[in-house]
Amino acid sequence: MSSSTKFLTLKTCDDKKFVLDEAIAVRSQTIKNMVEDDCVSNVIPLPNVNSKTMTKVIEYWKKHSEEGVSKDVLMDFDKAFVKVHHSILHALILAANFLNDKEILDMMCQEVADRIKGKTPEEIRKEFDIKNDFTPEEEEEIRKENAWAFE
Amino acid sequence: MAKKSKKREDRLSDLPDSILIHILSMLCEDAEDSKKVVRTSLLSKRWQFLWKSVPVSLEIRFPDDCYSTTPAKWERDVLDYLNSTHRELHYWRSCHKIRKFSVVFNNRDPEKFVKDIDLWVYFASEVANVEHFKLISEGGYKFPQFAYKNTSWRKLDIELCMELNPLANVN
Repeated sequence: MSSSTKFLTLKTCDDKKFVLDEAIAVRSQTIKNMVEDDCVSNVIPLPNVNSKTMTKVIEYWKKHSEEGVSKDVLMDFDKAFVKVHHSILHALILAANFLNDKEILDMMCQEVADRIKGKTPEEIRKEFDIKNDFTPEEEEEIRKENAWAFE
Repeated sequence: MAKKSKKREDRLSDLPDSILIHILSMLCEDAEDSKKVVRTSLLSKRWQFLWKSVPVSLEIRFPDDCYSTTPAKWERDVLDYLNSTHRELHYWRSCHKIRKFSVVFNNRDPEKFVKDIDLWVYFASEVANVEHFKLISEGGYKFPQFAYKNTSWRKLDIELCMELNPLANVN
């Protein structure tokens, strides 16, 4: 790496600090804007992201910034990256949304969509621990109303 | 990293509307999949009406003339198809935005179905908020006058055998 490498320090909501090459950190549009607007002093606070989630995000950023990585390797990496419990998917979606990283956001949303696809409502509820708060009568009513979509 | 015990908590439903709608729109990149979005209305109260905010794509593809079946059967199939299509469009009206609505009418006898095609054009121009309307029709279908004034279309593809003939100003 060249001698002009700049480093940024990111601080997550649980007070953990991450020192990161600026060239990598600007994958986040939010951080990029701060850097471009010269709003960066010493530490960039990330009040909406915890250290566990940030570790995953940085792992992704670093892999996708490595030089000479083949497409196949990256695809395998991405495949493994999204195979996490839905609570982690949720945390990564919120983090990607806050950091304004469309690549991670879209990948995670696609994973959620893929887990919804081809499942019955009952199976989707089970997959994501969604609590059915309809009364049986209400549920029957919606089923009737939207019967055309279940054909 | 140590694995935390999996909490049985519904985090997904806590996501902001914009993200859930983004996820739902990924369910229906194909026009055939649009109904899958509506099925999520059953998940819980949080999801009941979200589908209406998803910009879906819809496609009407008139049944091909099929010589492998009898004319009587074909006619029945067409009737069934038209009925279910008109019924479904009635429900899609409540969608806030329809990204693309395509009508492909490749029957050589559009006169017989002018009313149906008019209804689809009416749906696209007056009833629903359609961004991109595509109409392909063989034969002599005349693009109706009411549809020349439309404010929701951002993109319009028309392939007709007849010339367009607006009698008034076009929006």
